[in-house]
Amino acid sequence: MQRLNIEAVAAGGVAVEIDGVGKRYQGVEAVRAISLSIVPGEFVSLLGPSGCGKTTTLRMIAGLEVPDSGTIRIGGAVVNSTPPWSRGIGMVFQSYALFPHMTVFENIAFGLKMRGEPAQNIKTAVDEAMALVHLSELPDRLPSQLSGGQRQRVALARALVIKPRVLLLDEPLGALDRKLREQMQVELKLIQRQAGVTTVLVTHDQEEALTLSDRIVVMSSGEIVQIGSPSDIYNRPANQFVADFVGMSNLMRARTSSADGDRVSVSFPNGRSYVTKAEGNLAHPSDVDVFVRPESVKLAPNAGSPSGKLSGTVEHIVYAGASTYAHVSVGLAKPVVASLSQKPQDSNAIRIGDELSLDWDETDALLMPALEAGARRTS
Amino acid sequence: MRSRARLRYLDAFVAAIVVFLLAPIVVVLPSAFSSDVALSFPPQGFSTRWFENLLSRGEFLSAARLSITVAFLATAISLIVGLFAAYALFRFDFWGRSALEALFMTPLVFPAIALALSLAMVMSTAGLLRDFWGLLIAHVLITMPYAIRTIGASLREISVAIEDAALTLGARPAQLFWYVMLPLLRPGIAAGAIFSFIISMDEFTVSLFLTGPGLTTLPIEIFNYAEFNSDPTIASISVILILISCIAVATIERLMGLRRVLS
Amino acid sequence: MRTVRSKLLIALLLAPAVLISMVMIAAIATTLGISFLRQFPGDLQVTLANYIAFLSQPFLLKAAYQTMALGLVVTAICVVLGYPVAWFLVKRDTRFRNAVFLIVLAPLLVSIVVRTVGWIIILGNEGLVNALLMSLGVIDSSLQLMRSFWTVVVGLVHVLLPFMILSIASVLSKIDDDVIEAAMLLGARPATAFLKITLPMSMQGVAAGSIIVFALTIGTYLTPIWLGRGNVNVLAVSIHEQALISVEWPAAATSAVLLTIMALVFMAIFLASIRRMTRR
Ligand SMILES: Nc1ncnc2c1ncn2[C@@H]1O[C@H](COP(=O)(O)OP(=O)(O)O)[C@@H](O)[C@H]1O
Ligand SMILES: [Mg+2]
Repeated sequence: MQRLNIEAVAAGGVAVEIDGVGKRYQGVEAVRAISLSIVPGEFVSLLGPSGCGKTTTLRMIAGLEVPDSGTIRIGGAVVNSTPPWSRGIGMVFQSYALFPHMTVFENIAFGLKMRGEPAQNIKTAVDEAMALVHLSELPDRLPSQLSGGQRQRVALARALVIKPRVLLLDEPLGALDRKLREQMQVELKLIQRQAGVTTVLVTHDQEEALTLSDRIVVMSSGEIVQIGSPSDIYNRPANQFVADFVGMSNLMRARTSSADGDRVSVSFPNGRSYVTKAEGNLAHPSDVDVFVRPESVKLAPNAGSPSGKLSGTVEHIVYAGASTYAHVSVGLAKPVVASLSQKPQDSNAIRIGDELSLDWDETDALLMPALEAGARRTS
Repeated sequence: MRSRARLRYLDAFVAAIVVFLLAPIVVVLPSAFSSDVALSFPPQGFSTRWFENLLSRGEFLSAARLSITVAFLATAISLIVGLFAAYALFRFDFWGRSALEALFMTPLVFPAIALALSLAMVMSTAGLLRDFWGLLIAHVLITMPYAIRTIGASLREISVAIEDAALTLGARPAQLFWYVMLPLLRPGIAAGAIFSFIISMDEFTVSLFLTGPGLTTLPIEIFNYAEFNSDPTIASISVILILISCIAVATIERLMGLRRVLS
Repeated sequence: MRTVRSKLLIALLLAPAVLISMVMIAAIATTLGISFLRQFPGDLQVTLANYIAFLSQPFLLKAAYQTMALGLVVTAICVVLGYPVAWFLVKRDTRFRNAVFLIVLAPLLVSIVVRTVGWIIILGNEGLVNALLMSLGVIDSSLQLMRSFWTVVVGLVHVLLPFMILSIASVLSKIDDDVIEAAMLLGARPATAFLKITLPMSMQGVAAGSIIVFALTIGTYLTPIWLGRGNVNVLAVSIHEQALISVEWPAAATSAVLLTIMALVFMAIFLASIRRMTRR
């Protein structure tokens, strides 16, 4: 990989602290008193379904919206009443928002020009920023003459060249096709890491969040549902919503019996039951959802008497490129999905109609308190 | 499916309407060069004497001067006022927004004679009847809706994100306006300028009530002349006005498309 | 649309335009006020006498009747002529479409004075139509084509047709072709699809266009005066006479108020019937 001339954009990052910040639009509570601390240089993603308040949060950090409540600190100073033009923030918009009447060079130079930098400094800085995003050949193009990927790079260079203390990205890769998106993700991460700029990325794409972030903030209906590292979010989702939204998951309704020491028995409505480690914060008996990722479900031919935690019939097999999923009907509300990807011998062996037994390791499953009907929100 | 024959009827009908719309504008051209003393068709002979008559008459020239002055000032004021108003109307959501938009558009649909009389009455109570400033205010009122519309049409095509981007990049509101909004709005502003200028130049009914001896706009001068003369002079001046309109239409069409401005 | 709390900024931006509009509001209020005065300037006693006088003068009542008739006839003709043209502009895919659009719109930028001069050249005693008919031997002495109600109708339709076409076209262009195709797939014949779907949906445009055309027709002074030549006495002509020739301002104000009410009543009736139609 080529050495990036990161000096052009490196500024180091500052902390961003959001404390009880809320925002409502004509009766719609877009963001409900959220709190979040971002350390200098950290890459944080706001992840959640469309309409959950991610953009609003980002715009409040940028100063484009004024919070109704709470405080926002950037680098320790309260910025609630600081206008966007003096916050020293770089922002990339989903639509890129390039100035259509300015060339690539002029677009990137805009922020420095507004700061009254001398022309010579601007030229040097813009040239370096263009090199950083591989646009050195196109300084005189207008945005209308660029491809989607090139526009995205201009938008990024424009935001970085002012050496922002905080970089805000609102679904910056959403409009690109998959291949280009993955390539840009790598570059973005590289530039961000080296520049050391504190970065907040808004996305509804869980893969993107998992790939890029130091920490992920999962949001739903204007609230923060979980904050954690990508592996936390993936392996230990805080509740059914996160489990459902991030990756594929099995959530099976069951009932616990009273705990015996740190062991508890879990019974499915189909009559099967097993004993597992009791989760600390659950009362017993109670209704729970058993959470297991498809890749944690182990399949074995059902030899005579049922073994494993559940057993059932393969209903259908879904090929999804790298992975293959078997949907096994086990006599519960929904079939259990099991991933066959790491087990090529299995994926060939398993056919629709096969009788299988299903098992998983104690450490791969979570017991989540069941939500009352209707309380389970997905958006 | 639709029969071809039926479409042919439609095309023929539209062609007839096109002829109807163009006819009175086109027939003026040859009549202006007639050597006949009466407005007639087909014109008899060829002469430019009516153009000469036009230029030799001081009243037409001074009326033209007044019309151009009023149109120029009304356009300038309408554009500035309209730019502000369009920005508020099409960039913000606030209580009473659509009511205000309707208010600003009212001069377009208010019966002209009633508006003319009303303006004459209020100007007379303010001592501005048959006064340059009274006339100018009325023309601003009449041209403002066009300025708001054209600038609004331009504004709606500039994404709010572009403004947000400029602000986060460090542009103060004045810089945002000067370096981003003004260049992007230029076609809309230019189209609005041409529209306002032409509408003001052509304005008839309101001017009829607000002008008087010593303060006459071109359309009123033509009207007065035609009251007592029926020679082709009015055709020759019409030719000049048509020419100006053609240039205006072509310019607006090139700038932003007449269709977009009007719908 | 953004919702920043800076009400002050919005107020400042709107202030100049509102100020100018206030002139219009003041003007309309003044007219309304003067229509109730015995004399202006001078005797400021409030009275209904002007309205009673209006209703008791057959000449003015006839003018009101003619104004209304003119408005209705011109509006109806504009709908009938304008609808197919609007349909052509929106739905017919030919290379002439843009040219037709320009020709339809351009007259809006040509002075009403010029356009009315054109009709004098066409319809005058020595005009195009008479010359044509005579050379074809259809007639041997000039027909009196000017000075009639219908001449004025022709002139006004010419001036106002573009407004109607624009209104209808802007609504037609919002009707999705998919809806019509869906209807046809469900078995509607083209004529049925048009009557049941396109026409009702486009009534909004017809209504908006009719309201504008009616209001502009009854407010026009030049066309009735030049093409009617004293034979078509509409309220616009009366108002001009009352205000500028006999200088009876309260009487002129009264006529103007009644004219405006006529436009408003037409608008109300039209909006109400459209609302009932679209609800069904
Ligand atoms: N300017 C606005 N006016 C009114 N409602 C808004 C505005 N911006 C956002 N909202 C509402 O606030 C909620 C959150 O929006 P947003 O922050 O854009 O969500 P996300 O970026 O997660 O998709 C949504 O319900 C949206 O409709
Ligand atoms: Mg968003």
